[in-house]
This record gives sequence, C-alpha cells and structure tokens, in this order.
Amino acid sequence: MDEEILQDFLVEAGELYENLNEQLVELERDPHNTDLLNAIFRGFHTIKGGAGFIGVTPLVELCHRAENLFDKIRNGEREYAGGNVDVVLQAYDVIGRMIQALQAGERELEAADARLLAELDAAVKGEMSSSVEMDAPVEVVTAPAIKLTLPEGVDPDGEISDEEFEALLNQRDMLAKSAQVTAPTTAPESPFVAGLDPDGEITDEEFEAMLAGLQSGKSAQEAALDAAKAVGVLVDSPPAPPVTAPPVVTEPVKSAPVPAAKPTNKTAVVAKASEEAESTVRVDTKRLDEIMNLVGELVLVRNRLLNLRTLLQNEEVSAVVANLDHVTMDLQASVMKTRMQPVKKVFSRFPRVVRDLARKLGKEIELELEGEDTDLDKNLVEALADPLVHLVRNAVDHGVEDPQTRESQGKPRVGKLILSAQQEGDHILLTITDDGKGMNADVLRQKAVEKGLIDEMTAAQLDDKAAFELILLPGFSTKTEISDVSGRGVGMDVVKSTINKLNGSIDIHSVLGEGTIFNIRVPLTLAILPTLMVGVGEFNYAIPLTAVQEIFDYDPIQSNRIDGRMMVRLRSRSIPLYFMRDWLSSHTSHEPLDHAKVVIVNIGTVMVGLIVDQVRGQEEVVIKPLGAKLQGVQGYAGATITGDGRIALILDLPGMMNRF
Amino acid sequence: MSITNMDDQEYEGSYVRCVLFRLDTESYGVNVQNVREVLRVGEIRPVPGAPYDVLGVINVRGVIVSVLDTRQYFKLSSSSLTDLSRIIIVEQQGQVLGLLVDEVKEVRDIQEGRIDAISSVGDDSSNRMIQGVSHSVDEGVIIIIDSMKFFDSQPSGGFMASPSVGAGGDDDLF
Repeated sequence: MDEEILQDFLVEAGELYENLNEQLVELERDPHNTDLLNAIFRGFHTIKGGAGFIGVTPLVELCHRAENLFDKIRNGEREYAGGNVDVVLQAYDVIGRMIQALQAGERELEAADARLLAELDAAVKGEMSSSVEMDAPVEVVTAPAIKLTLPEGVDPDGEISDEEFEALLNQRDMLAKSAQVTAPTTAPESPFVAGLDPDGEITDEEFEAMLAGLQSGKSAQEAALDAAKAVGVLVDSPPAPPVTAPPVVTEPVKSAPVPAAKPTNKTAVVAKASEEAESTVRVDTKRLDEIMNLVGELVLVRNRLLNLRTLLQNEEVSAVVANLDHVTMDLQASVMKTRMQPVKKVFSRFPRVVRDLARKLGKEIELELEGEDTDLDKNLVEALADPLVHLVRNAVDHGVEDPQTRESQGKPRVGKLILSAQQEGDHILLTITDDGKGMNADVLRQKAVEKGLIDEMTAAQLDDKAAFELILLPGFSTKTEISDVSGRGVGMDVVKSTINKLNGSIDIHSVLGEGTIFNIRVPLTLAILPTLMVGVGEFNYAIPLTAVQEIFDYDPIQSNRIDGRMMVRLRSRSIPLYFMRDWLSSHTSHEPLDHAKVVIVNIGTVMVGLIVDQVRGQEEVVIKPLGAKLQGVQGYAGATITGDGRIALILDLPGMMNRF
Repeated sequence: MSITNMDDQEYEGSYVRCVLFRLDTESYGVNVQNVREVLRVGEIRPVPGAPYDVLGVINVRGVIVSVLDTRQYFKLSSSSLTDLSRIIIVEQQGQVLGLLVDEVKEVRDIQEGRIDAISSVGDDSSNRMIQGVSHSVDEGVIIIIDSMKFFDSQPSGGFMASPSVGAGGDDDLF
C-alpha cells in the first residue's frame, strides 16, 4: 500500500465522512432533497473509489452497499425512513471506525459485520421497511468484484492513448458480458436507453464518466452506470433501475467512435470540485505555529523600534516606524485568523448525538444550532468537543422530559434544545439551552450533603446559583441508577476542569419547570492568554486572568495567623494567604513588604490569596513551552516573552499549590 | 574562529569537526554537527523549582531554551560569568539545550582514529558525558563529549547537592 496515497485518501475520506454526518442528519428532516441525496451518494461513492484504489476491501464493500441504497433512494425506489435510516447510520459509524483504524496505522481491516452487510443488502432490495415499492420488482445484482486491469506501462493518472482505451473497452465488454449472466434477463428496458442512438456519437459526459470509472479501477458495470447516469441527468428521463443498465448501455458505447481528443467540457460537478480545491491549501499547524512565533518576535522588534523612535525624534524614522507598526498589527491579526475554524466543526456532530440519544430514551427533541460560523482557534475547537458532547447528552438525558410528561404539564410535546455560539469581545460564548424540567436547588443541596461533599451548614448558605454549581463537583450525580447515557458521577467535574484548562468558565442558570441554560465562556484562542503580570523579587510572573478574582493592598494588621497559617478576612470569609516570595524567590528574607498586594485567585473551588511584590498590570501573552528538561516541573504553564524582551514564567496555579 | 588541522600531516583517517570550549582550565570538544549556534550570555531567567543542573531559560529569537550549568557535569564548582562566557546551543531531534561554558575557542578537525576511549570507572556523570580524549600539541588534552547525553541525564552528586525547595541554588550567577 502506498503510504502517501493512503494519507491523501485518509484526509479526503475524513472530510467526506464529516460532511456525510451533517448531510445524513439534514436528510432526515428533508428526505426528498435531491441535491442532498446526490451529495450523499457521491460521498459514499468517492470513499469507495479511494478505498478500492488502495485496496481496503472491507471499506469498499460497505460503501458500495451504502451507495447502492442511496442510488435507489435518490431514484425514488426506496424511502429514507425507518429501518433504512438505522442501517445507513450503522454503516456510517462502521465506515468511520474503519477510517479511524486506518488513521491509527492499522492496515489489515476486518470485514464489516456480516449482519450489517446483509441488512444493507436487504435495504437495497426493499425488504427493510415499508418504503414505497416499484411496480416491477427489480432483482438486485451486487456487482461482483471485478476489476479492470490496466495494460502494463499505463499511468492511471496520465493521458490514455487510443489503443489503450480501445483495449480497456474490450476488456470491459468482456466483463460486462460475464456479468450479464447474473443479471435478470427479463429486466425492463429503460426508456432513456431505448431513446439513445446506438450509432450516435458518444457525449462528453458519458465519456468522462467512463474514463473516471476506468481510471479509478472500478468494475465495468459501474463505469457504464456512471455513463448511464450522466445521460439520465442530461435527458432528464425517468430514472432506470441502474442494475439493468450495464448490459444495455454497453452496446452503444462499444460501437461509438472513441473521441481521439480528451473532452474539454466537464460535468458541472467536476468543475465545481476542482474550483474549490484550488482556493484552499492544506497547511500543517506546526508551520502556522512557527509563523505565529516569528510574528511574535517581529512584534518585539517593533516595540523596541517604537522606543527608539521616541529617543531619536527623527521625523522620517517616525513615519517609517509608524508604518511598520500598522503592518505588524495587521500581520498579527491575519496570522491569528489562519488558525481559526468555524465552530460548525464541533456542532455538526450534535444532530446525530441528540437524535440517537432521544430515540434511545423515547424522547422527542428538536435541536437548533445557532452561530455555527463563529470562528475560534483550531485547538480550541477540538478541545471543546468532549465537554460539549457531555453537556448535550446531559440535557437530553436529565433535562428534557419524555413526551407524556411534557404534554401533561402543558408544554409542547417536542422538547427544544438550542446550541449556540457567539463572539463576545475576546471571548466565545457557547450556550446550551433546554426547555426541560430545570434543576431543583433544594434537591441538589440535599444530595450534596448526602454524598458528603459539603456539610449542612454550608448547604443552607448556598444561594440557588451556587447550588446549581454543585453538579460540577467530583462525585456528584443525581441519577440514582447508573445508565450508559450519563449518571456515573463522572463527567460534569471533567467538563469543568476541561473548561478551566482552556482558561474558560462555566455558569448555570435554571428555572424549575422551565429549563436550564449552561453558559460556557472560552477565549478566542489558546495561543494568546490574558494574564495579570505580577512581580516577585526581580522577576515577572504571569497569572492567568480567569483565575484572578480581586486585588487589594496587603495589610499585615488585617491578616492573622490561624492554626499556623496566614489568613485574611474578606467579606466574612477567611482566605489563606501565601507569600509568593517563599515559593519563587531564592532570597527568602522577609524584608518589609511595603506596597505588597494580595491577589485573590480561584484554584478549582477554593479561594486563596497570593502575596506579590508588585502588580504590573494586565498583559496578553503568547504561551511558549518551557525548554528541554523543564517539561516536568510543576507549577508552570509555560513561559512568555514580555514587551521588553525578557522572559516571564506563566504560573499554573493548581500545579503550584500541589508543589508547595 | 579559524579551522585548523592537527599538526600531524601524515594522518589519513577521517576527522571529526569539533567546537572547542573551555571549562575552568580544561579543553573540551563537541561535535559540530550537534551544535546549532553559539550565543553570548544575556539574561538567564531562573526557574524556581527546576532541576538543579538547569540554570534557567533564555529567549533565543522567540523560543525558550533551557540553559545547563555544564560545570556541574564535570564536577567543577560554579563560577561567575565573564566576558568570555558563552552559551553553546546543541540540538537533538528538534529539541535544543544551551550549555553554559567559560569560553568558546575554535572549530577544529580532530583525527577520529586518535581519540582514545577512556576507561569508564563507575557510573559517574562526567564519565557518561565523555566520548574520549584527544591529545594536541597546543591545547594538551581535549575531552570529547557527547552532547546528546545532556538531554537525558543529570549530574550525579557533585557540588550542588539537592538545593532547598524553591531556591535556584545558583545565586552567585545573578
């Protein structure tokens, strides 16, 4: 197997697979959309073609059947409903797993489950559901895996000479004839084929389709089939049962004079595809990171020039530096943009998640997606997928009630789930809204006490909003029974820690009986981190701004030692204090801390006060990994270079707390 | 820096091109293939809590690079920086490290056949770093080191036993 071709295939197949996901869900809403049906058919077809080329037979077999089924569906012979939907989605999942296995480096795939293949065959034959049957039952012939072998020395991608083409045609005719034996002899002749002049010139479309078929090494029937389809579209005649086409169509093709020159006008589909391909370039994210890095350096150089400009007081220099300043800013923004991806990439999986889960739980739920085109950093898009899936599953499982309950409460039978994304300054706000039963703060308080997560006193003091946030604690689950949907008591705390790791925040609003809203705020990009720059000793440290609650002057008189620990009272709460100097400075002498500040930060669920020498202000920093041999050192999220070219270490507060 | 051949003209074997540097009074050589660049010492930012052989980090055109106290690997006491101090940036599979040395002298071709292996006694860090020694007329003994070893080993014992928590232990440098 050629590794390079395989990698190309995997990238392409991965994209097609993702598109199929969206298209399949869309199709369920609009099962007769011809464009959609065609797109899905093409999707399976293209994956099959590529898989055949690199010789992944299990994948070919599966895609082939799915393709057949969609061919029937788009021709109106089958309905995309009921059992057909299930079997298609199953096949889709298995295809996904196969692509994943290939990506993971497996080269010998197991054949797909025989039962699934049989079900697909049955679906193609129309034995699957109560779909509309054709008047004349058509016996389906699954194409035997016959492949055309190219004559030796022929480059499959290169131009093909007349002789070679003729040889291939002959070869194909032979195969077609052998296939004819298995084809029903009583097959009704399709109307458009009859209308075709057997001696007429072959159209460009037909030729193109045949050529494409031959080049990708497909079986003879399919090549002819494609030709037949091209004609079908062209003359807009009622679609013919495709399996009957090959033997009949072969005739005109054989006798038709083969055009010597390569046809110039391609079908609309081909032209469109190539247009799209040319407007984009695939770039390794590592390269983008390098560019980001260099732009960061450029910014530093510019900053130094800006300083020099004020010193030099030269008008000409000033003008040039000002120009450079603008260009650098634009460049920085542009480079940031290249890393952005629409949030659609994450959202597109949810229709399927909600559909499957709702079916399983016997609920009726309509999912609405908003702001799918909102852009955010590529890494962020990937990192957000899991927490969002968890929240959406939770909303379906715990949030929305079953149809009967909803009706009895005077709500619409179908529950509503809205997933939306929008930009909010330098943050992205993601909301998951359901109109389900909402959360009962009292039940949550009680549960938390029962599970020993908090004591009764604390529970009574919590306001409703704080009570909702109890569900984010490790070990909290209100479902008494463990289901495979949710309710294992793991998850929500993982969601919270994942969001925290992304320097984001999560908050919950809920009204009993009306529904729940989860708000997730994450920064636009992971590469740039808003921080509070503080000074400890002679060095600067950056504290992620999301953790910072407030800052005030350190007053030794107001802090007191309780149980050997320094504490400060802040609005009737006692908060432990830590001297950053003890941690971070090699000089442990306790000089009088004039003008020292207390920075109150949130570490997980606890609040602590960090005593620093200076607060330098807010700064957006580019996170860089610490060098070799320092990766394992706890307490740092990385380092950054400040405006004056010096290095500041970025603190990882939970790690810091662990270390000391 | 000039590139000089060894005085022995009759030698016909292969050469190893080395960057020669000085630690204290001894000459060391490191294969030039593993050296990316040599830098003047700017500000080295200490990283509290880092392994004690790591002096800190420096900014090399936007990339954060750890700097090792090379002296510790050869059981030499730490010294203060001088005008001659340099940081040799070595790389291995995309990873880079800075080695703080007292002076970088020249690039020299050393006869591969005339590098004598030294008998390794024990599992000493200085021994693990050393590939062999070469003798020259002007420099005396040149210790050829394997810079790759710096990426995965730590100096054993030596002068800097484990420093107190949080302290860099390298105060004399700053």
